[in-house]
Amino acid sequence: MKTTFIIAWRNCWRNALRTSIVITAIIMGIWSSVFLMGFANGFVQQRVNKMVHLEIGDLQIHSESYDSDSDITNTIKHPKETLAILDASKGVQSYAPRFKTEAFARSARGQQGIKLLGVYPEKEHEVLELETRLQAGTFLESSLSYPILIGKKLATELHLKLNSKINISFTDANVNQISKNFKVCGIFSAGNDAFDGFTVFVPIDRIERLTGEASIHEIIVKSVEPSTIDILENDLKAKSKGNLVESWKTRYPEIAYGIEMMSNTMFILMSIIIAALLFGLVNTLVMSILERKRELGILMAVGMSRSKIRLMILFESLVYGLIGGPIGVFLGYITIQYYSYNGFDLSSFGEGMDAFGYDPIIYLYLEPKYYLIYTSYILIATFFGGLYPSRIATKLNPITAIRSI
Amino acid sequence: MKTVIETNKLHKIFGKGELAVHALNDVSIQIKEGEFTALVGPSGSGKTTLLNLIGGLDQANEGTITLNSCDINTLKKKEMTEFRQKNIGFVFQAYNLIPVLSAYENAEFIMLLQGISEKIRKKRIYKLLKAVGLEGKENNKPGELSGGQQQRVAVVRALAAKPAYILADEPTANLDSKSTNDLLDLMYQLNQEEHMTFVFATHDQRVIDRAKRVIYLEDGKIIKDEIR
Repeated sequence: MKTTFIIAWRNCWRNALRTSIVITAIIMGIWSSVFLMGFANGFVQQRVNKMVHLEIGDLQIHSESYDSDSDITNTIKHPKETLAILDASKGVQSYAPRFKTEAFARSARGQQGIKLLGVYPEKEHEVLELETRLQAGTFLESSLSYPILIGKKLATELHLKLNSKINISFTDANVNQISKNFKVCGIFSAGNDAFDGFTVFVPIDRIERLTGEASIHEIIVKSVEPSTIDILENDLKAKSKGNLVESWKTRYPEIAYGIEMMSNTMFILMSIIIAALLFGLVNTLVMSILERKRELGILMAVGMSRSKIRLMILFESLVYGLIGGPIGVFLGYITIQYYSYNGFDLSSFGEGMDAFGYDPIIYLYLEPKYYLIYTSYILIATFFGGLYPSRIATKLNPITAIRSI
Repeated sequence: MKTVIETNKLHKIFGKGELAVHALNDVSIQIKEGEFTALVGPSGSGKTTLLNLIGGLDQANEGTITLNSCDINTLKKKEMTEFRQKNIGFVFQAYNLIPVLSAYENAEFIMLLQGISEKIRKKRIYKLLKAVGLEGKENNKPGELSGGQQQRVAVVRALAAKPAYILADEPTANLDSKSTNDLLDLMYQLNQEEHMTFVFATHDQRVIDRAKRVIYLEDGKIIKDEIR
């Protein structure tokens, strides 16, 4: 076995230039596919994290019929019991009840349909991180009598700045038209035009002051362990009667599907890259075998079994994978680490990414297990890549091979 | 002395139909243990074909080959490979060393395949390399050795594992007179000391002169068998 490996190793380096080119091609291919995976993963994860941490939380609770009828009267059923369930649940880290209705915003320079959220500011902080995305002012911590937090996009559309007046009008549960002037106390930018342009936050007690009550239409929940939100979702579903409990994956299936699609696409792309590399590898091995047919004939003549010849060729194939695979994966890891801290800046050719909720700076990320999976994948692939050349070698007739030039 | 190589009515035909060449035609020989035999004849006479058949590298169309009471036609490929490894040492005209292995490693190769211990391997190979005048060249790759030196390594490789038979195909064809004489001296010495059976395919007169038995072939047939 040792001799077989020694011969295989030295055979690989007989033509050092050719071997180096093949290994370099493998390294480049693996590096690029790992980088692409890290990029795609970071791209999607960043979108999900942004959405979960800035906009919707891990889970949301609404009345069962809220999606088909989002009328102001369609509030959370049994709100006290529901909040008590959340308080008692070990999987819930924090939650924030919200008043939510369609409204109309008007400034001196324009008007816009919006989503009005009446919130408990301190509870919002416990669930979301929107205060980290403030461009100006505060997150409703204001001495103003009617403060309002708006998105950058809406501020631009309505030409608003801090302390600007904005009129908000909506219909309350008793079909009374409520119209009130608020003052901008803060401007945020969640990096998603759909959210920044249509969502405004006001303290829930101001809603109560205006309508006489502050019903709860939505509760956003932060889980203790985001990776197990499916379990928490099912647990809360079973306990919360009359309400719909949905994780972000259930509520926004297109995002979850997008992640899966991206992952599958990247896997297919990686497979194509590796397949292309394997063709190069197989070609190199076949060439190398045809160049040393005579030598293989001698090895057979002096008693080296066909299984050892096969093993030798497989070793040769594995040498390429053993060198190229880990180096490619390691380079991919280094690149991903670098861009996970510094970000990959797409702003120069990523105009308008905000409009779709994507940041122009992508922070690459790849789960550690994938590095191991890729390395194993390469080794398995190079092993299979050696099967065909080894078959050619073992099918040689010693006499014919020895006579060949 | 007992018969260790026996061929019976061997026929070997290359090609088919009108292009068929009868390389061996009804060849029957018996070679006894320890013989130093030369198969002699012009090019195309069938001496290399006969050597290849005896070595199990090729298969006859008709006839049987018995090596030490074993009918090698009945062996499967894997068994034949193992049989060759344990019983037959080959020396080829073009040396055919493994270029990536040193002289020592080339010589060691068959012994390694046989699983012989390192201690025995070392002792045997150093002794043989010294005997063929390659002391100090152990670590040289074939490309760093002259033709004569390479052929001597090839002989050491063939002899190292102490096979029962050495089959040599034109072993001196590419060697000068001195190298040829040295090589023949070595082979003759081993033949005498270790009773190995040597069969040469050759038309080198220097080899023919040293042979104890000369079998003449022409057009695939034995035309003369001379025991000296």
